Amino acid sequence: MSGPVIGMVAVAAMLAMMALRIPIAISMFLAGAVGYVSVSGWIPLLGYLKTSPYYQMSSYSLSVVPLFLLMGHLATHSGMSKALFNAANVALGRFRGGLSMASIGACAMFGAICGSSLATAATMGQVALPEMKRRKYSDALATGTMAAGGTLGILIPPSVILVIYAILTEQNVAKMFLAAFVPGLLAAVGYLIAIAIYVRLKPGSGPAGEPLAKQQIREALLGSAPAVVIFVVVIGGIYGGIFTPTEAATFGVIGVAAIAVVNGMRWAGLKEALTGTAVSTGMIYMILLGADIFNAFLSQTQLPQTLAATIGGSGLSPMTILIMILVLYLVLGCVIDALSMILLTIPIFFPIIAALDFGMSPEHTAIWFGIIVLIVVEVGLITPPVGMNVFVINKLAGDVPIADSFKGVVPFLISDFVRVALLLAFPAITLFMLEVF
Amino acid sequence: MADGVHKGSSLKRVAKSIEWLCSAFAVAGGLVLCGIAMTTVVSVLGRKFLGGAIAGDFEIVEIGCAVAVSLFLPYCQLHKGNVIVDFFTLKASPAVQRWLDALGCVLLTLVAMLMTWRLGAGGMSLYSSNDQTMVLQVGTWWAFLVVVPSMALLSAVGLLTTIRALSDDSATPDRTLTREPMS
Repeated sequence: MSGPVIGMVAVAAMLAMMALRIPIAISMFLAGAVGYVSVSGWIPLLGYLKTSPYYQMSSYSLSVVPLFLLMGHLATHSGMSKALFNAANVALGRFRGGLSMASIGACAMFGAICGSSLATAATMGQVALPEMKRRKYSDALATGTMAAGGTLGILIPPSVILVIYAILTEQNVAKMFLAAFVPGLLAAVGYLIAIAIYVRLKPGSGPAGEPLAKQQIREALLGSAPAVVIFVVVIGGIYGGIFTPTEAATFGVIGVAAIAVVNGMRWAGLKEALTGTAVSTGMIYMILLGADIFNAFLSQTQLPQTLAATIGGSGLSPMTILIMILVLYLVLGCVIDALSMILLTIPIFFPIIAALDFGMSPEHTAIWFGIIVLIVVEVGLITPPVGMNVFVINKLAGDVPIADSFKGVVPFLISDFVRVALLLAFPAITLFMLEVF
Repeated sequence: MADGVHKGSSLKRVAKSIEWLCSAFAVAGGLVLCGIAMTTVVSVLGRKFLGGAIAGDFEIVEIGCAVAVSLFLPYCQLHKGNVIVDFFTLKASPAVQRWLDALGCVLLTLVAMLMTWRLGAGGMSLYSSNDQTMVLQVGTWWAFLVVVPSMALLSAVGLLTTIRALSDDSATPDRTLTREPMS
């Protein structure tokens, strides 16, 4: 068998294992290891495993991942969510659908501290859902808002997936974060517009909030100040090149931990944050270890290069190929989680994209593609059948039929698709920040 | 009969100790991460304001990160943190799902054992070749004193989760909140 054929057999075997509930990390590892042996033999594989897993775990550029996760888990125990919701409510509460809008604003701010989409949805949901229920918001709007709001956590820096994408494609993490900023803002604004239209089409689904006293306004703004400071230090520090992403994350960890302790976190809360970090970090690194073997094998088979050459020579326009890849991500995103999908597909798809001419520099193509892929895979979090965000929020809300929650997500999905189309049509939206800084 | 009961309870004791070890490892790993955070913050502040960073702060991050991550792995498996795709088997009977989950756990155990063996060998050869970090001149093998036992514990947890997947007790903790990786 030639290299690319072995590669394809291994990919098929891996997908079959995944479909049979074998953990994704283990499927990648086994397919990669068996493939490695068939291409290079036993001895090189055994040699590779002596130190490569260690170097993966001790990689400096990856070290930002556990730190961001720890920061996010501490943030969920920091009592910050309430303060952020109140602050957003000051600005947006008086409009029709105002509590929904405030939830989106608060999710955007919380997403700027916590990179996890599920954690953002769940943490903000605990604060915002009871408020919306009290003001008689429709169940569909309330749960749809929180599920969609959570996805802002992935897009707005810091984002673990962006870090991993940057490492896989050898891009600068700081530049990736910079490029994600405007699309992230655009996402939040797009969601606000979606809510404004929704409450006009369905009157009574989201009444305006009560007017606030001056005292409440001052408290709300003061309460959100620490979160804003942390965001400015962490993200501003990375943008300004003052420190590496890892160093920025360490400041975030210490800052959020300090706020949490001031707000009453004790040993039990800290322990919960630490073990929560253990689960999400362990999961990511297991997949990284599996993907490491798999990608080491894949590059030996020449499969990515062969595919890139075949598709590049197919005569299809670059935009058609790009859209076909995005549609594939959309479909896959409905069944596989986003990180595994990125680790699996980027080594195969990125060479294809890199070989196409979109009329911009290779670096800009890589960054632009990464941001759009990120949005597309995140859509999988709010679409059936897997839609984890929707399930988590639905469970939090208690007595809401799941179909209602999925219906409530539709306006936000439309907003997502509009945004993807905008970013595809106008790469400058993503790239102009790179010129500014 | 009595023997069976005794066997059951000693198995439970073993399971309890494995669980305790996993939690202890996870908390220790988390504290290592906190330690990395503090060291780095002090180092950056020193670099900015006092004109000197902590020597080898990057190496501290790298070694600490490897140690913390490996300490996390057993706890993650114990709490079903390792992501699976359940979409294609949603309609399968619970028995079939259990057997497939057990198969997944067995395969994970084998991978963990392979890693324990290979990383053990890797640590030995780094020790004998006296491999050191650039600045701090610490032997790299020191980290393997944590990484290899963590992999061994992961193998043990793999076996434990296999037994649990096969036995009927559906004391499956809810993992919806812990399942999603990404930030």
